[in-house]
Amino acid sequence: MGRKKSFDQHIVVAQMSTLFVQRGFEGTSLDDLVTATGLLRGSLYSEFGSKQGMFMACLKANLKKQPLDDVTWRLLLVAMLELTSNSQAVNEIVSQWYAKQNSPNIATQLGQQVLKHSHILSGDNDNGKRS
Amino acid sequence: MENVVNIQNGQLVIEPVGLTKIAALKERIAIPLTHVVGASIDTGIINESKGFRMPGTAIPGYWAGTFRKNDEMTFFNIKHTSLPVVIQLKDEKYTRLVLGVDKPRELVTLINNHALS
Repeated sequence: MGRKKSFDQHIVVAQMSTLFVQRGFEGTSLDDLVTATGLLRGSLYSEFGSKQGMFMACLKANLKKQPLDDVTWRLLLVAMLELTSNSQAVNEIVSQWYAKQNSPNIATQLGQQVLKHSHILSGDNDNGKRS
Repeated sequence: MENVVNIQNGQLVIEPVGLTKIAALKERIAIPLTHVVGASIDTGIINESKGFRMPGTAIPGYWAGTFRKNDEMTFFNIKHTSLPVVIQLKDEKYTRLVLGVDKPRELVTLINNHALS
């Protein structure tokens, strides 16, 4: 692990987002984040303050840049399953996102993301359950 | 449990407990909440090199006192059996605190709901 004082936050956020999507919030350790970004632990803490701060940076950046991307949906799911019930700051971000959604099918879209993430459907075969 | 941590009057107050009070050479650390950036559970931090120990105590499996690494001062008061809570600060002598506490997850939630970010 080399010492890097300056780094491209976009790249670091993308690397951290991939981890949070794959392993969830609790399942992602600081060691994982240090390894994936190649940054010093101290640099990550100085830049983001906490693991929650790292997750929030990922969620905010993805909601802004690619609101309809699978990564963004999955970060939202991780936030709702693991963080919004305890964390006021994450709750605020997700509540604001939810308030802005005009689609009446938002619950369906969330459910579809869960099914997609689960790998229980083979290919396009959803056993006729697609709405 | 090596430390009792509370939020009182807009401050985060850390009190080393029992023998660790002597080992860590600290009676009490009080940080204004406006200088507390966030808290995390970080199991791996005690396996990393901690840098040079300033005043403090070296007992195998127990780290107490001030350590300097990469121009940062970190206060450790934790046994290897505890789940480390890392508290990031700004505009303070210490860049961060690494503490063993009774209920680490509850403390992290409490701090993050009171911290700046």
